Amino acid sequence: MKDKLISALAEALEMDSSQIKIEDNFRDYDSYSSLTELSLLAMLDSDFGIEIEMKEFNNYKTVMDLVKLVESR
Amino acid sequence: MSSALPFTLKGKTLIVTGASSGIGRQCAISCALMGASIAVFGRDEGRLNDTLQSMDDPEKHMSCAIDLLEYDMVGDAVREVVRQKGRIDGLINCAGISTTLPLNSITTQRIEHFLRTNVIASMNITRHAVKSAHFSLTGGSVIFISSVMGVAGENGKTLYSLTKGALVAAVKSMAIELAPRKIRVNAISPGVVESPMSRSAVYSRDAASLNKIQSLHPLGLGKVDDVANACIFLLSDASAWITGINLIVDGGYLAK
Repeated sequence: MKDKLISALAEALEMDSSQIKIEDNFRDYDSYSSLTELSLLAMLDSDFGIEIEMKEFNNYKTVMDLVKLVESR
Repeated sequence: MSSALPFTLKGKTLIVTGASSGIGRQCAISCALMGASIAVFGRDEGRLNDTLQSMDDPEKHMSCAIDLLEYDMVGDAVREVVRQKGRIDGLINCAGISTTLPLNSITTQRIEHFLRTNVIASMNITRHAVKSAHFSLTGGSVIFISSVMGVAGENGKTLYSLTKGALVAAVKSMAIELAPRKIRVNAISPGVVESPMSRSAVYSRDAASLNKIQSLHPLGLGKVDDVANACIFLLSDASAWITGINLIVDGGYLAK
């Protein structure tokens, strides 16, 4: 699940998977923006069946947070 | 035009899709107030009933709980309206979905989903509604709710724009094809209207984003009544010589 999440995150943020570290704050990536943020929400829905509101999404800070999210569902 | 009250909808039978909420719901309520008998279409029977109960003289109208993506079911639903209410004088295609996504996330699956929901479903019910056996022999009016995003661009609106632009384009040829039968076909393109759709949109998530979108509309954000009133005009005999247009109802969004 972790590898799938990192791969999907890389795709959404147009990065190489190797650039993504589990402890990174994903909002610090150069390609992160209010628009790519919507890509992440869409990715969580389409790839992992997770629909969350922006308010809840704001609680997630690191790549690990997202890994835990997808593993918990 | 001989009617003393050209804006009335008295005696007209209409179908309104997407009538469970937002613009579609208000169109049903407002058109009922203007005298029309209406078949409200939507997926959720409970919410359709809520709409019916909000309409003037609920017994005069009917609801049809249907998923318009079940294309093969739509013909029967339209026939049932004609059986119960008589020939159709007008159709408002309100059902639709919106999104804001960067190009990178616009997968073929998402494109197909949006085309099915926003374009194919409304074209399909229109095709059934305007059949000679179903539509008024003296003509009438078909409306597609498009969007200013059908003629203008905005960051992240590619997917939504391509479906709404398709409607604006299709309206023109439909207007030509159906003009001999006095069936008028027009689009209405609203700016941002306060509705469940806009309240869940990205620009509503914080005060700064909302202020920005409000500043793009010189008259402020619209209300669902603003679009419903435009529909009344295009459904009524007052617009008898208007077809193939895209009526912009946007509080000045496109004026700049």
